[in-house]
Order: sequence, then structure tokens, then C-alpha cells
Amino acid sequence: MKPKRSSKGRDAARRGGKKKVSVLNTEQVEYVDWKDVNLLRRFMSDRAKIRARRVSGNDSQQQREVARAIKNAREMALLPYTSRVTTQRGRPSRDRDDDGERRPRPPREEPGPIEFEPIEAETATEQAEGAEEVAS
Amino acid sequence: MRAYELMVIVDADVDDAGVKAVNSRIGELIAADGGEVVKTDAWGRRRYAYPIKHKLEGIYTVFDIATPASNLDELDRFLRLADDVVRHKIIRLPDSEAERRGLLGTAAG
Repeated sequence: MKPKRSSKGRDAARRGGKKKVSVLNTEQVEYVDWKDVNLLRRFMSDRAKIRARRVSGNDSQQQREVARAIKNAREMALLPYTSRVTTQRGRPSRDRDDDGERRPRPPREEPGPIEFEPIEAETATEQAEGAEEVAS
Repeated sequence: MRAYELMVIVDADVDDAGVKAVNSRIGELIAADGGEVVKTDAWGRRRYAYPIKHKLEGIYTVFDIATPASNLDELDRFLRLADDVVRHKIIRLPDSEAERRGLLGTAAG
């Protein structure tokens, strides 16, 4: 028997996830108002970047309207162009959040100079000399 | 007749009389060729999302306008030249949205 593949099954196979639904659909927004700051903020990351379609779930028309509205709102200083995010140290797992934005990595700790203990060094050379004698 | 939306940011240092002067001038310019300011929404002082001219806030006003396009050039020119106006934006409203707000119903355009 041949395995049947429905269109639904293929869609779900797309990286094993449910299809995202935009909040424009869930809240039945008919007109993306560029003055509605609270709505538009939901399409921006915490760094004030416009969220990608794959994150927001917008179709291409919605994404175009949202982008246009955000850009209008930015010109009128209703929304920021950028906003600084302070990263906490010691939590490298939060390096990237769900919108795939790059965060500055916390500085790596420099390895200090390696200290040799003189006694160990001496025994090491002795062993090496002994090995040479055996070989000859 | 078409529906437009106008947002004006007046400098926060301007007093109420100054804001009124700007608003009435906008009304005059719209009325010049048979337009009408249908609704005036004074937001008042609002903090900018980023500083403009080293100021942190401005006085916002939003106008819903029904006007023939012939008025807009003069209006835009005035807003660009007015020293008290920090920024302005004129948006053409799509017909569906204009209808929802009842902008063109009274004008019978």
C-alpha cells in the first residue's frame, strides 16, 4: 500500500510546526493604523526591528502594511528606529532569541599564563633523559 | 473630494495660543478650495520615541480631513515653512477606512 500524503500532512512536515497565525487575523484588524503604537509594537523585536514574516505569521500584504505603518510611525517619533538592549553576562544560551537577532557575545575570559611548577619540570627532564639512555 | 489624515507635531515650547494659531491656519488652508476638517484630535504633549532637535516631547494633533487634492500643496508648504511645526505627515486614507470614519458621507463627494 502506498502511503497517502495529504496536503495537510505535507504542510505540517514543514519543519514540524503549526502554521503561525498573525495577530492581524486573530484580532480581525481591517486597517493597520500607523498611529496604533501598541499594535505595531507587537510586530517589532525588543531592539525595535520589524519582525520577519516567518516570525509574525503575516502574509505578504499584511507584512507590507505593517512595515509601511511602522515606518510612518517612526517618522513621527511614535516608535523608535532603534532601542538599545543590555545583555546580561553569564547567560550565553540567550544569545539569540526567537527572531534570530544577533546579540553581542559576552567577552571571553582570557586564559592566564600557564605556570610551571619547577619540581614537575625537573622530573619531566629526568624521565626524558632516562628514556634516551635506554634507547641508546 | 478625498479623505486625508494629517498629523502635526508642534514644538513643546510653543504655548496654547501658538498651537491654536497653527490649527486655525490649517483650517483656513483646507477651506480655501472647498475642503473641510471633519475631526480634530488633540493628543497633547507626548514623549518622542527618540529626541528631535534635542527635545524629548512635542504637542501632537491629528486632523481628519475631506478635501480636494488642490488644497494640499499649499497646506504642505505652510507646514514645512512654519517654525513652530516640528514635523507633519499627510496620509491619504483608503476609501474603506474613510467610509468607516464617515469622512466623505457628509461631503457627498
